[in-house]
Amino acid sequence: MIKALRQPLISIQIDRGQQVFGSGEVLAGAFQIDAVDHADVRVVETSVLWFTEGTGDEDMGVHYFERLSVDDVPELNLQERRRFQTVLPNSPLSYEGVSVKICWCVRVRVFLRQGRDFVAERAFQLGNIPLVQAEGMATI
Amino acid sequence: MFGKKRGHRHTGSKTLGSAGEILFFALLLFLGSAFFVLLLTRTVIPEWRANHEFVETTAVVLDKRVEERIDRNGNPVFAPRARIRYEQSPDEIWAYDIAGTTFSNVTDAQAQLDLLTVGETYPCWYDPLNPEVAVLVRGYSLWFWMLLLAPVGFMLIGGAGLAYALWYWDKSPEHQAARGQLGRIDLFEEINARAKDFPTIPHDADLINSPGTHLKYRLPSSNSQGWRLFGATVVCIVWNGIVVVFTVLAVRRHFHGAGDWRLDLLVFPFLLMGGFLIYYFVRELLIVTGVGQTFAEISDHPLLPGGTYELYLAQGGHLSLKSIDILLQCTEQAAYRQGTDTRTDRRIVFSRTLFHQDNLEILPGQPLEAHCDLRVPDDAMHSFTADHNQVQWTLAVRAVAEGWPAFERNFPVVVYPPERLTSETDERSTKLESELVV
Amino acid sequence: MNAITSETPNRRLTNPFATRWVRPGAMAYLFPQGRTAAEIVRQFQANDWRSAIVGPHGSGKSTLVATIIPLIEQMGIAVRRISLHDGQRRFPADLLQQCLPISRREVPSDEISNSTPRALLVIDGYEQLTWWSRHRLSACCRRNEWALLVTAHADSGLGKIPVLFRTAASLPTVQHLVDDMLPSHYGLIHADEVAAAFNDHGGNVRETLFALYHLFEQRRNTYGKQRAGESVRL
Repeated sequence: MIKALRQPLISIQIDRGQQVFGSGEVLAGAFQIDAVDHADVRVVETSVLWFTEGTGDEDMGVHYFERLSVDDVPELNLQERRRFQTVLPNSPLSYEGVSVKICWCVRVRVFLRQGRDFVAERAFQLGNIPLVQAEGMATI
Repeated sequence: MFGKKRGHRHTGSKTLGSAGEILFFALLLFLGSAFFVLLLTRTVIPEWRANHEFVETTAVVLDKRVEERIDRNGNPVFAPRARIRYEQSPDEIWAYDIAGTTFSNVTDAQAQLDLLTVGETYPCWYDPLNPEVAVLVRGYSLWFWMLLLAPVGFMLIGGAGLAYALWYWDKSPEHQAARGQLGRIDLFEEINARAKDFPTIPHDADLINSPGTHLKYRLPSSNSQGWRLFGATVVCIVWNGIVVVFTVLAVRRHFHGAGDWRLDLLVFPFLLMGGFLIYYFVRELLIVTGVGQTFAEISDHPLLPGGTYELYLAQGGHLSLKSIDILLQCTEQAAYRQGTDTRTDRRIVFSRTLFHQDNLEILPGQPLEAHCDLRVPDDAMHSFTADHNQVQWTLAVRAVAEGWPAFERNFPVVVYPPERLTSETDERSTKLESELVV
Repeated sequence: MNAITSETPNRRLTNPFATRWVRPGAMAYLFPQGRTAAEIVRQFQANDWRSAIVGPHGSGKSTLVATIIPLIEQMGIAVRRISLHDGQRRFPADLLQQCLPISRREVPSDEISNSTPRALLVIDGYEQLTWWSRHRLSACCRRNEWALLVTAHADSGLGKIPVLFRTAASLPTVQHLVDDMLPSHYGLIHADEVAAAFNDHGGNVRETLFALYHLFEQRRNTYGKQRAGESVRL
């Protein structure tokens, strides 16, 4: 029988609550992991990435990636807020198309020693491309 | 007379293009002619001479027999032969007809010989150029007339196309690639640098490596009429070549009273398909030669949101157009694969007409030339490409012509995002990453 | 399934029918009354770890596989999944090399029985394989003590592999799916529209969900404007 695992609480904040960024702007923020024993955590990965959404298979591109292994940094205190920052690229911009959408987010993934992992995301917008209207829009 | 071709592009000298066209039709004409000559010399001429030039005499039938042979397919066939003696030949010879007619069974062959009685005298005809060659039976083998259809077809197509190309050769305008510009730095280095600065944006190196004659760049087309015609030609020739052989076999058997209905049933659907392939080939040929090439040139590339660019379009051919439109379009494409099911979703999410004209004539050597402005919307999404999802911008040329199927030619373009990282911000990025708290 | 929490910027109204949310693995299989994933796995074990899931296109075969795989992994059986795409008649030549490195997950040894196979090979689109490929696959699985679970559109070609479960889409199931598992359509999709899409696509759930995706797209812009008090730009 598998032991029940506690789900860690992962919170991600972007500085100043900013949600819309332009190319070349600095994306900075912090994350915090709670409700999990330090001994249960194996690795914490932080990434800033884009992924597609829509009617096609997902594509993904990672712009920023940081991996923290608890074994390598034993004094790591996950409950402390850990910062991240990166300069955002020229492309791809966030896009709300019809069949293709491009979304940016900060993602934190926590790997536990029992082999499971938990993910939290905080989305943001890169660029200011307006929504694309689907044809035949119905009025409610 | 310098020209270069890459992929589906039509660039450089029209003379070179016309030369290629002439070569193509000349090849068709040559092949047809060679086959025609072969048939003529081996079959048609000897039969004709036997019926018109051989001199009549009389011959005594000394003996007769049915000779068994094996044909090309390994089947036994039977040839009626009679040994005759006539005044103009010093020796007795075995003869029957000039074509060496055979029958699929002994009975039919024997029936021909039963008309001759050993010891009797019958009229015969000998070749005045070679008196030792003579025939007892004259006439024509109708099957070879059908065989002639294939080479005649090639000759007609090749000849007509050649005549057309030659006729318009000296009336086509000469365009030279006047400007070309390689990057000041190594080309590969430039491509990698750009890819790094603009991830997921398609490379436009293939779009801007051909200078235009009116504007800076000549854009490649994503449609390829030439390859379609080539494919249609090859398939048509190969398929119909095989079908003709079997059709002739089947008809020949009927003429000899030994029709095989199973062979007829087998050949019939292939014959129908061959007819369709000929129709398709002729259609493609007429489209390529009648509709003509489409050239699109642009004043700059890549495109930026809010930017305005000049566009030049030339449409050749010999057409009466009901309408022609040039459109700027943005298409989303998403591919989804699950198990054995693959699904591709394509949607046009933006379309703007840049140019429209109704009721115009395009004459050979006098292509339609259109100049217009291309304005990219201020808030346009940039081009995007990933494994399964794309955002593609294209210039689409759509035309509806009298007596022709409507056609569309597409020219991909690349739209970049409006803001760009400079080298200063690149340095800032590196500095920031090194300051990250670990 | 691992928990994912996400906050979206103001203007984004996530389409609940996007492949991200409805692909196999993202959504659990809705079992008919009285059937559970655990019971399916028990039956699989009773079939000596060789079985087939059969059903028409878009009826949820891959979703069912994705639902039961975690339970199988919890038993200490490593899983390797191979999808045969349309026209693919042979499994990858390096199948053996792909599968050999997989090892048991970290499960206490007293929880693994001797009859538990070392690994499970899942073949999506089994009927596309040639007779010879199927024979080789069976021999490979027997030799390596691998379990075998295949999906197919029909029984023919399964040979001696028993049918574990037959997937079949029904309108009530799809309605349940839309209302209970995809509630964030904000009432933009009505039951009669779900029924119409389901009937239009001949009971293919995947195509039904794609159709609902586009229907949602057509309506979300207006809903977004209303929700944000006209703050969303077009």
